[in-house]
Amino acid sequence: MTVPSAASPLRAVLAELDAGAPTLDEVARRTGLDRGVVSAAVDHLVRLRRVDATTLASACPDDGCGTCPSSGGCGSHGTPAPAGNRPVLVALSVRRPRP
Amino acid sequence: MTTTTRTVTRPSVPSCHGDGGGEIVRDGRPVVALVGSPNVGKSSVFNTVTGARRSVGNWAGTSVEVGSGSWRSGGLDAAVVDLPGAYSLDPLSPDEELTRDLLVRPDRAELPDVVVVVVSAADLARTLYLAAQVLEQPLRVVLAVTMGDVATRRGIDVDHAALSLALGVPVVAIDPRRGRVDGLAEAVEEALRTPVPARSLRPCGCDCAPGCSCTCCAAGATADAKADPTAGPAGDAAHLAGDAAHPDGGADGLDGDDELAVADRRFARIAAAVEVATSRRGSARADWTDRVDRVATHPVAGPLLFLSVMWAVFQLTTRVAAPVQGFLDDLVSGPVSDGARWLLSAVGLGGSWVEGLVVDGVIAGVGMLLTFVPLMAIMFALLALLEDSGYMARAAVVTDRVMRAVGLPGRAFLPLVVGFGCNVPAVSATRVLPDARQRLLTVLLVPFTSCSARLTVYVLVASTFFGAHAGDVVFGMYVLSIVLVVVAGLLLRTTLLRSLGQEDLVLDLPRYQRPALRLLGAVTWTRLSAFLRTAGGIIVATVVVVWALSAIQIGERAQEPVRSSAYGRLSTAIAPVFTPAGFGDWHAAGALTVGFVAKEAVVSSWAQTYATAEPADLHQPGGLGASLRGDFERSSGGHTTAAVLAFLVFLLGYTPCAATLAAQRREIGGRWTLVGVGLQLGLAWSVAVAVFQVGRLIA
Amino acid sequence: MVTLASAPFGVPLLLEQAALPAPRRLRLAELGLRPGATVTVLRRTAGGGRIVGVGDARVAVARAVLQQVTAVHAAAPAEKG
Repeated sequence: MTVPSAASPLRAVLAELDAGAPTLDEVARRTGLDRGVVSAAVDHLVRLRRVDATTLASACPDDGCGTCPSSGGCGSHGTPAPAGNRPVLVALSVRRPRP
Repeated sequence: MTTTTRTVTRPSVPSCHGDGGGEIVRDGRPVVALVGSPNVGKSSVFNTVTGARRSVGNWAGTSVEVGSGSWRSGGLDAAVVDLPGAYSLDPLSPDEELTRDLLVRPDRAELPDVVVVVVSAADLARTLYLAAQVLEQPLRVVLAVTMGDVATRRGIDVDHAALSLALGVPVVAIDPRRGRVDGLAEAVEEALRTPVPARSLRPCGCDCAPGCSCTCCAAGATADAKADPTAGPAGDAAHLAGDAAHPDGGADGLDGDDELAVADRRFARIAAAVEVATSRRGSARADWTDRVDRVATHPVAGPLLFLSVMWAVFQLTTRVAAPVQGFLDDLVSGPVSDGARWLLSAVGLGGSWVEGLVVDGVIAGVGMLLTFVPLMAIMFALLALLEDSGYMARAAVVTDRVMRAVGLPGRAFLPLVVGFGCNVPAVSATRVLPDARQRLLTVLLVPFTSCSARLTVYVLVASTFFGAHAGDVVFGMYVLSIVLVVVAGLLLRTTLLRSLGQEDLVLDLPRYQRPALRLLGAVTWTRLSAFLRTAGGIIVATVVVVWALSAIQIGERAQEPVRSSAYGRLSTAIAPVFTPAGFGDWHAAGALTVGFVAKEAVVSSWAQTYATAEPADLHQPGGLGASLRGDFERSSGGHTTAAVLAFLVFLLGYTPCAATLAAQRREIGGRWTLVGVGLQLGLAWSVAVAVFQVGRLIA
Repeated sequence: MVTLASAPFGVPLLLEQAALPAPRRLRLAELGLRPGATVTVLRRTAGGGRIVGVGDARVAVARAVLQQVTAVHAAAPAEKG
């Protein structure tokens, strides 16, 4: 069933994630939706618990605190950089509805 | 200007139905509610429009903070309520619950007269969700769009007129951070003159008659509504019923697919509005970051820029720090010491060993520690500046190849660079490396970077023996320092640290940005205090020990008392080791012994061994210089130049100071630190001997 | 199909895969370089590496890593109806 994306953005994004779109840019491309809308839609789907988001990260990020020599004892180490600055890898998986 | 604040609360009985919770007290003026997602700048708007006429407090019966104040601008005189940031009206938190309570109520007389929804141009889709929900309620709405500058930087252009048309509400672009909210008051005034819209819960929120031409009707949403059971009058009722029922957790009180469908309708509206009102301009990374990087990461220009930057750092450090250091030195050895002596005399301890211990030991030690502070503070601050600005990542790229030659990743250059200022913080700077074995290697190589304390000795010796060529000699020492780092690195990698893996460079290059001064200050202070804590005790203890060794006389008192002190005896015993290097003299050996503990003390204790005055200006050694010349002549058998160079080389390569050892022990443990000491002494001695023996043949 | 080490500059590419150990692949993915992403190789760096642009981000990558990442030329964006 093709869902007209513009009329049901959430369901369209959900469908593309389910179909295995690898990146949000790809989802935007396939649905024709604005990249910002896709991102907001995914966040809302996570809020609705339709999608699980798990952050993947290796130790010691490269920028921000990573290059700081005092990362062992720096007082400002605890404050994370604002989300816009550092890329974050998140794995999105669609939740199967309970029968 | 009178300061009036209107309280907008009345004590309430908390209700699990969400239809109580407080009311807005009317004082005859219209009430404007400010809502919006967190981080869109809503508070800035509130602050700007209310000026001094505002107060913040908790909403009665809740822990939620609400701001209230007066908005007077032009013809507008209204009471403003600043509600907490909320992503949506779904009550997932007390903040959102309160916002919902005030905007969704059965009695329309209790509603705010105008709701200003603040959204961000840089994240329109996300911040419009609340607006979409608010537009389902019978409320007058004005949309305020902030962060236009951020959006522009990201390449997003917002057409406010189109947005207004698509959503059916007035839209005003504002910049509250710079205090520009023109147009908002007028829009609110204008809105107050219009009747309250009778919104329905249709997707577009307008009373869609057949043939309606609003955005969502045009997009065929009505067709979708046929398939969607929650649209239409039945759906509206269910929605309202869901609102009232309000079980925890579920948004809108509906479950599963219905919930999704309702949210989807809102998103459809948002998507349609975003589609017509925004346009993206490709990759919008600040052009100048890329332009600068064309030079900063260039195969040729990059390294040159890097060297210039590093040179500038050291120039700034030494030039700015020097006078401050001089001042502190004078302060401690002058007024402070004098004061202490006076005090001790007053209690009858004048001239005793106690005075020696306190003044020449402890106070001198603390003074020496203090003179470190300006140097370190400036250097740390400059390095933090480079990091925060984003340049350090580029420097890591540029030095990567060179570092790789030593078997280290690009990031290892930072501790090594710091080492040229002072080895102690450089050792802690190795924490930037994630791999323990890389850290070990780097920590062992740090001592071979020629620190600024060694520089003091270079300048003295070079000025004494090389006159006009002193500068070249000093420069040569720094070059040699780099060579030693590479040689030591190769040595270690081929013997003890063979199993070290290689890590290829994958490095994010952040945008260049103006460094945050407050962060800079915090980081500088953290590093500085760490240094003082690590090295402080040791430096003071060292000076005390040296003083004690010089004070204790062993055996027959010599003509020069220093010579027969414990310190002198020790130096004499060590001296023969340096004969192959051309400076097997107890004065030189003594200086180096002291230098083992702290390089800063070399010049002063050297002067002490000759019982001459320490030169005020190292470039003009005076009496000390004359004594040095005599001794080196003698010990080298006439090959003064070779011996002097050998001496300098040894000074460069052997253990930096006790503080460094302490820092090393903290990072890599005692055993590896001893390995390091062995490496340093071995390498320094070998190269010094080689320099002398070869130099002897030449000069 | 090309590797990032031999790809032309300034041309949008679609990343395919990276023949690298998992931690390395994760690191690349964190920075935006993952299968399906659109990247552009921008310029050479000191030391034989290259700077790769992913959206707004810039990543400096060493030659050895670039040689293990394959990509194809990105298709032209679909026409909007």
